[in-house]
Amino acid sequence: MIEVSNLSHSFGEKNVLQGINLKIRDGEILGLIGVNGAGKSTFLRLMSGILTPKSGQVMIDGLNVQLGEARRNLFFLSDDPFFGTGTTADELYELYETFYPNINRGTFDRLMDIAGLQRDSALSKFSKGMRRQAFTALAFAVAPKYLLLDESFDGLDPVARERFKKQVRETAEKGSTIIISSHALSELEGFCDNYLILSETQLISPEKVADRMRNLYKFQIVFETVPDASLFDILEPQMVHIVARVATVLVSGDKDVIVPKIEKLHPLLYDCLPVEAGEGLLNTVTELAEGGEFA
Amino acid sequence: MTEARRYFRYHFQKSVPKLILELMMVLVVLLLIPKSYVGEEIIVIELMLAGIMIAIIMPSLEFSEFHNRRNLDTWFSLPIDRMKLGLVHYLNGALQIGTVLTFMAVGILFRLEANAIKNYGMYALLCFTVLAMCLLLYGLLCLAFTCANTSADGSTFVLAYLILPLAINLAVLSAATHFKWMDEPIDSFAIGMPVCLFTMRTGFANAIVGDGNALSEVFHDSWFVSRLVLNILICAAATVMMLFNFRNCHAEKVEDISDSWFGYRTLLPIYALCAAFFTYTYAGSVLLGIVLIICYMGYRRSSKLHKSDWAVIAVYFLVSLLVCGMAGRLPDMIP
Repeated sequence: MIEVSNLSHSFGEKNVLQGINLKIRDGEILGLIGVNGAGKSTFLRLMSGILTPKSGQVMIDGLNVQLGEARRNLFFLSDDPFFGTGTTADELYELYETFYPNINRGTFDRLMDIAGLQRDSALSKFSKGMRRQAFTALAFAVAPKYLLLDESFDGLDPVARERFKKQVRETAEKGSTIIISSHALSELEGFCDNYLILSETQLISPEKVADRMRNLYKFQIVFETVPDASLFDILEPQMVHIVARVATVLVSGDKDVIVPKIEKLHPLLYDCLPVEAGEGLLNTVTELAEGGEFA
Repeated sequence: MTEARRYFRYHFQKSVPKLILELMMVLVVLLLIPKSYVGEEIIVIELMLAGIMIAIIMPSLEFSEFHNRRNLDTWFSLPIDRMKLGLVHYLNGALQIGTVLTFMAVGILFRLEANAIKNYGMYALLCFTVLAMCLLLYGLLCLAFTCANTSADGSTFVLAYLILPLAINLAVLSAATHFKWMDEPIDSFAIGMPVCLFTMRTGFANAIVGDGNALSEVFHDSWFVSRLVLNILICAAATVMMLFNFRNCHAEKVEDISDSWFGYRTLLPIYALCAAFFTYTYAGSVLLGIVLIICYMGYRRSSKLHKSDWAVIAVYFLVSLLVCGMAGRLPDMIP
C-alpha cells in the first residue's frame, strides 16, 4: 500500500503541493489528472523518492520511499526518460537488470519485437514514441508492484497506445498498482479504476471522484419540437447534446429528484441510459476542483 | 548492499573505455619522459605530474551523470540509497585512479634507464603515498564537482580548486615580500602546487636520485608537516562532505544556477582577494571589486544580486581595502 501523509512541496516560494493525504490500495489503475503545471509530475517524483518533500512523507509498504529498499517494488517512468548518448536498449536492460534481478528478458524482447525496435540500436536514433516504447517494455519486463507512469501516452501512435493500455491492464490484473498521469482526460477515460485530481496544490481523493461519478445519470429525452438548450437549466446538467428533437443530458444528483424535473419539461418520452465509464469525467473534475472539494 | 555491489560491477564495466582512454593518455606522457633522469629532472617530474593530473581530473567527472534532470529521474528512483549510489561512483573513480597510477608507476620503471632509480623501496613507498594523496585530492575535487548544478560549473569548480592553492600561495608570497615578513622570498616549496602534489614532486625526485635523507628533511620541516596535515584533513572532510552532499542533492535544482557556498559564491571573492594582494592600491582594489560584481552578475545571469552576494562583496571590499591600508600606500583614487 502507498500511504501519503501531509505531503507538501514547493519550488522556491511557489507552493506546488500542500498537505496531501492519501492511501492507495493495491491492484488499482489510478488516473492522475490535472492541467499542465498542476503538479502531477512533482507528485509522482515525490512518490518515487526523486524529490525530497519539504514536509510529510510517502510510505511504500511501510517504508519511507527515500530509502532505496522501499523502491525495490517501484518503477517510475518519467515523461522524458533518460538515455545516455549511444546507449542501446540492450545496455539499458543491463542497467535495470542490476537493480531488478527478477526482470523478465522474455517480456522485454517480446515487447521490443512487437514495437519493431532494434535492441542493439542507439536510443538516440529512435523517435520520441519509439524511445517511450523501449522504456515501457522495460517497465513491463520489471513488472513492479507499483508502476508510476508520467504522461505515458505522449508520443505514442494510436496502435502503440492501445497496446500500451492492454499491457497496463494485464500488469494490473497480476496485482500491480498503476498510477498514470495525463493532462489529456480522453486518454484516461474508461481506462482507470479510479481517479485522483490535482488542482491548485490540493488533491481530490479517488473516493470523492468515484462518489461523484456514481451519482451521474445520462438521460435521453425526446420532445415534440426541437428544444432550446436553456430548457434544461432546471436540471443543472453537466452536459447537454441536442440532435433534432432528441436531447442527451448528463446530470449529477439524486435520481428521484431529477426524474420529476424531467417530467416537468413535458417530453414525449425519456430514458435513463447507462453512463459509460469515464463519461462526464471532465465535468466532474471541473466541478470538484471549482467547488474546492479536496481530500 | 547487494544492489550497490551489482551496480558497482556494472558501472566499472561501463567505465572501461574511459579508463583505456586515460591509460592511453598516460602512455603518451610516459613516452615523452626522457630515458635518462640526470640533467632532465625537471622535465621528468613535470611529466609525472601531468600523468598524475590526468589520473585525478578525469575520475573527478564521475558524477557528471547526475547533472541532468532526466538522468536523475532514473537514478534517484532506482532501488539504491543515494549514499550508496554516490559511494559506488566515488569508488569507481578511485579504482580508476589506482589503475592509472599503478600503470604509470610501472611504466616509469620500464621507461627510465635501468640504473636511473636508485632506491626501489622508497620508490614503491612514494608511489603508495602518491596514490593516497591523489585519492584525498580526488575527494576534494568530487565535492567541488557535486556542489555544482551543471557539469560545466562542476568542471570550472574542479579547475578553480586545483589552481586555488597556487593563487593563495602566490598571494601569500606577494604579501610576505611586500610586508617583509621574511628576508628571503619563500623557497620553491611554496611554488603554489597543492602540498600533496608538491610532496609527489619531492618524493619522486628523491626516490629517483635515491636521496632518502632529502625527503626526511622535508618532513622535519614543521611548517610543511602542518600544512600537509591540514591538507589531509581538508581533503578527508571534503570526501565525507561530498557523500552527504550527494545524498541531500535536490533533484529540482539540477541544471539551475549553481548556488552552493562551495562554488562561485566563495571562489569569486577569494580569487578577487588573491588578485588584490598584488595591487596594494585602492584603485586596484576597487577595480577588482567592480570586476567581482560583474562576475557575480554573470554567474547569477542577472543584474539583480542577492543580499548574501552583496554581503560577500562587502567583505571583499573591507578586506582588500584593509590590505591597502596596511600596505601604507596613499590612495591613488584620492587626489
